[in-house]
Amino acid sequence: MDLIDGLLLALTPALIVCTTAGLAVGLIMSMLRILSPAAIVALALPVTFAMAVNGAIGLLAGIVIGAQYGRAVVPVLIGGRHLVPAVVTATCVGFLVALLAVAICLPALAKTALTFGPAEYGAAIILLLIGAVALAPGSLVASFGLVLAGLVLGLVGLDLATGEPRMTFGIVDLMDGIDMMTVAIGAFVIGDVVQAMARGDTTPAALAPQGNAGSVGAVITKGSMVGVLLGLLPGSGAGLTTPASETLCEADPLDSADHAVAEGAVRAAAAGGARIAASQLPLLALGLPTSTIAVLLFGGLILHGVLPGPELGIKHAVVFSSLVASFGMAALMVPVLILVARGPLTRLLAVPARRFGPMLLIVALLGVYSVSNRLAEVGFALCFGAAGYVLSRAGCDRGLLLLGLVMGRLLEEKVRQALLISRGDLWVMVNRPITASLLVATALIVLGAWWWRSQGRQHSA
Amino acid sequence: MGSQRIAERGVLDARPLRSVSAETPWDEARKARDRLLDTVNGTLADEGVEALVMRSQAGNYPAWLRLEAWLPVGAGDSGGACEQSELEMIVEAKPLRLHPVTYTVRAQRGKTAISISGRRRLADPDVAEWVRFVIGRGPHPRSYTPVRDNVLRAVSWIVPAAAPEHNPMAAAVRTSLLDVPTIAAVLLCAVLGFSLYLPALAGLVIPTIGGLALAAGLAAPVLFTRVERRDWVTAEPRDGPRHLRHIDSWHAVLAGAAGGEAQLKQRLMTRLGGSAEAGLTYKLERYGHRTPNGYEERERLTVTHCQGEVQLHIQPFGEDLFVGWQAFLNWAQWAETQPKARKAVGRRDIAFRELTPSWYFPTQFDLIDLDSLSALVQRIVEAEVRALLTEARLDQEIDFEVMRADRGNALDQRSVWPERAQERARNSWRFLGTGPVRRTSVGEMKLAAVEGSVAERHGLAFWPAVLLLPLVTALAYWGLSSSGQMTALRFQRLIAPDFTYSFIPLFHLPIALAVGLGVHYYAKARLLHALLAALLVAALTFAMHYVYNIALAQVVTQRAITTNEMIYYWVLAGSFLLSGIACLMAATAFAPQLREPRLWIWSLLLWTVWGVGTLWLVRSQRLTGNTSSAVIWSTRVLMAATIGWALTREAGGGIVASIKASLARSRQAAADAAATATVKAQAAAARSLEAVKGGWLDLRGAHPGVLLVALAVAALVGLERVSIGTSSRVGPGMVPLVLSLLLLAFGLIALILPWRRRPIGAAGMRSILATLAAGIVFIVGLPLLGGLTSAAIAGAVAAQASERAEPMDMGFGALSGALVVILAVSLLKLPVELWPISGRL
Repeated sequence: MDLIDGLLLALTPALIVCTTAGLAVGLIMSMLRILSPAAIVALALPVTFAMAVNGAIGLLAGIVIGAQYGRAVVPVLIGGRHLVPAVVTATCVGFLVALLAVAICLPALAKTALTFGPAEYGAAIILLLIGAVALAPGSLVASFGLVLAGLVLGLVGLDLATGEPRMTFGIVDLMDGIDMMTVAIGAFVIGDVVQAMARGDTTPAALAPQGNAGSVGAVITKGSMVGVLLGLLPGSGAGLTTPASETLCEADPLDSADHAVAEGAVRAAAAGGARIAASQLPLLALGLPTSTIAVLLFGGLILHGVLPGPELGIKHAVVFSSLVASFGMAALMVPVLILVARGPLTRLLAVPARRFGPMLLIVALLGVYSVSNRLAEVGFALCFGAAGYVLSRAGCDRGLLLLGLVMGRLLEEKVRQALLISRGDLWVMVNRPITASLLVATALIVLGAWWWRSQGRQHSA
Repeated sequence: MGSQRIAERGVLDARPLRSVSAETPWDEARKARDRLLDTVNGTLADEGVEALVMRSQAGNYPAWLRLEAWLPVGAGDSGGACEQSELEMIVEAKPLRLHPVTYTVRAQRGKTAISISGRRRLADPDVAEWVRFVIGRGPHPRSYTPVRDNVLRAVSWIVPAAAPEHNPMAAAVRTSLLDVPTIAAVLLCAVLGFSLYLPALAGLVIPTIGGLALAAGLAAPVLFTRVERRDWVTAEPRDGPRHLRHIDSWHAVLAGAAGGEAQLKQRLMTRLGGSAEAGLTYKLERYGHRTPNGYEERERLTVTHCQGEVQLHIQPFGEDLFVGWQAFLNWAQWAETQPKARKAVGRRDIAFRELTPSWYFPTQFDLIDLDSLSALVQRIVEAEVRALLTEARLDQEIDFEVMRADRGNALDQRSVWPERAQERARNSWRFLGTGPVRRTSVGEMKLAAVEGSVAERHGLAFWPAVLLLPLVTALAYWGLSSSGQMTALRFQRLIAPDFTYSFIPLFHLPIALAVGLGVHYYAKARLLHALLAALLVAALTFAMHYVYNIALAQVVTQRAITTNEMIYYWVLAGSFLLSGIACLMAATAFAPQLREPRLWIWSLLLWTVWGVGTLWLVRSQRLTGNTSSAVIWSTRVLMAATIGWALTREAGGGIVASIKASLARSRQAAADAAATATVKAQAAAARSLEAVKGGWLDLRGAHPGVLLVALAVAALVGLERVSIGTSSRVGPGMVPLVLSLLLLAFGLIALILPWRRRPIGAAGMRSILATLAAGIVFIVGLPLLGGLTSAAIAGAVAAQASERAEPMDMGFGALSGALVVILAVSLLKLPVELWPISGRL
């Protein structure tokens, strides 16, 4: 088993230390209830910039897991202490199940992906973008607009083929394009800080789940399966209104009230765990990030010169196994950590958001500055912060903006290549088997999401 | 029309009161229900089956009938296995319609569910067939013809009259076929037809066309300026709709007094009749409930005064006699609908409205009235009961204390909302469940919103006119031009020396089609009328253009027209004005609501300016091919949109209000419940207290849309000088341009569309501003003051983002900001200078 050998090789002391540190940071941050998991990961990106690739991967994986698990555990820690073991186990099991599924599917999918031409990649990106829009929470039109805004922002700067400046207004700082890190830190971290400061201090007691989880095993199994499926969907199916996904919807971490039922909390935890792992599959196999967290990981890997995609396992075998190993390790460690540090973590929950908001803002500003070394970039981040708050306030998924931003150049490149090869014939996007099936899948996802929405609307009304 | 009542003192009674009649369609519907009931019971008796048959109660609209039968299955003693089957018949009153009563029947037996809806007649043999089908004694009823119905229903998307449910307006409320505009239209169309197809006649006919057109043009201002608007409302039936909420009650059981039932009833009725005050009505009515022993009907005495109602029950129970009453507030009333039909009579535009059960929100007055009413009833009951006890020599102590219900919340509207929400859930249509029958269970009355229910729309008319008509126009233009029909012909005669008149015969067909569709779908003109309206547009445009050109030719030559800019635009402005007048005249002839001078003036102005503008664009930008055609057609599309808007607009509403209203109508029709808007808003508010349900063009909380539009505009400005390239060699500007245009479109839609929004609010604004201020302090301060100081100040400023910021928070913010910088510089080797002087030493 190559994979297991690789995993064992990858488990260096540095990786273990970094993963543990990441876990702790992620957990503590999520207990402060200011930043959403995506924001926590975004905030960590500048730090990893200064680190070696192995340590950076460990830290990121730890933070991803810590933040997500912390989020799942918050309501339980507030109200139903008796549920902590169940929730923690659920998340862990869900994650490992999905990781196993990813490990099994990855080689075959990567093999298929290697046969992709520009047209196929273009279609896959379109599937990803439209799917993410269709499955995003909030208004469909606004979601479309957000992805388009991301794409447009992604194209700001010099054109790679001709060197012509586009949409730069003569501003030198815009020539290199808008950095994904700036947008991520702005829209997520600063946006979340603004939101937390504006929200005042809500008493978290309302989130406490009621009752007992029935048959934990069955609930976990169901939750994990749902999570795997959701994770594979573009945008991780954040807009699908199952009890599982509602709790993990990225728009407003503490406003959703579906933790109310114990069983829901456990199932959500399992689904959440499975979803994080499953959403890595498209990233690793195709180089296409489907969730916000995956977009951030994508950015983190690119910072270190590693391009995720079908060739990752071949070209950067060590990076690949480190990633899988640190994820697995973090998932196994986090229940222990939570159970041990339950008391201090719970005490963190009582700290009002306004206490640590300013600090996180300074960290974010310093982070942006440290990566780009330009104060203009800090200004951009502030603008994206205000925009991010406005968007999340309106119930839009800010991840779409980021997704569009990352995909903008790639989409343009693939479309231009495809058109060049086919001599301007747009049908090339439709009449090849893989592209056609991808576009059909897009249509199916959109229709399905629409149906789901209409059902949900009826139920909620 | 309408009843004007002169009271005895010679005072004109003009209070907003509707006339009450005993012969309304609702009464007819009730009679029809009783007929159905008799037939159903008769058939059941013939077949030797005993089943549960229920019917609607007084005050419950529409009238309905329900049959439930549990048919034993299997031979003999099969242990209670049975097939449950049911039959519902709903009789709806349709005032203003040709058939004032329509029938909807749903039957279910086993897995088979069949239904027909909106039928104009349901004969007794048909009813018997339905009953036999339901109790398993017969095949499918012959009146159930699903294939035929569905075919007709599909056809009815285009031709509404084909629908099996089609129930045209009664003759009294629609413009007759033999009125002046119709006759004029027929004549004009005939003349035009001859002139186009018999060239030999053209010489004779052309002056006729010209004369007619000029006459019509001159008559237009006179014809269409002075219009009197009349409103006419259907009479109310005697029984109002009931939606009762319990207020007070009293009861007693008189031991051993069962024999006195009839006597007590009689005496109470006499007393109530004797004390009848103004507005107080009383009657005996039967009411029924499903009981463990099957359906049971009893008798009660109902005393009503305005929205108050007291129900008196006298019921023997073994030897004893129950006497009691319950007082209710009625939350329902009749409300007028939007005009369902319009009729032009001379210079009068009569709008016909009908009634629908709707909400009534009781006030303190109603409660006071009800209290008085129940006190009166209680007084009478007390006296009569005492008298009965004395006469029957019964020695029983009766407690006459009235039981008061929760009066604190008696007028609380919120306590009624949950019922409305449930009602909506029941009425909602499921996905793919769009059967012909509304999913309302019988017996649950649908109360319309107080402002009146929506107009009935069907098929294509379900779309807002302001969208459908321009769409049809644009499609028709596109179809005509792509099939090569848009060729110009030269008229056979020279109009003037050196002046040839060329025209495109089919050019006005699309807008004519749109006008025809508009008056048919939205003004409820008959198909023949609509056809005439379309032909009239074609005829008038042709005739008017021709006359105009003759007149112009007398003044200038062809050469001057083609070369002189001024004259060119003069010609075009006139042509747009004329075709506009033609469209408005044709539409107004069949849709009286368009008779409004202001509407005409503004529309004509808009179309002319727009049309001249488009041609200027074509000429100045040297547009050719499809682009120029599209630009030229846009005027006609605009015409269609304006006419669509005018056809569906509410009197006195502006453009925005009209778009809002027409979209709200289609939305509401889709939700199939006019009463849901408030419920939805309340539910949304319950989900998030600050949520705002933005309407169309409602900009509260529309910040995301503003952001998107701003970004799109900036991107488009930034792309001004970037080359686009060709499709095979895509330039650097192509993809961003396409994406920016899409972004602009979505941004605008996001601005306009209603969706759940949460305005930023004061707290949010404060947070944004403080955070931005902190960031600016950091950016400005970093090179000037150094990392430590600027981060500390920024931290203190950022702490102000919270409304609850205390001095301690600012201190903590400053401290943590400084600490972060120190840690970052010392641990992560961040390239930031802690002090401004460190770099310069």
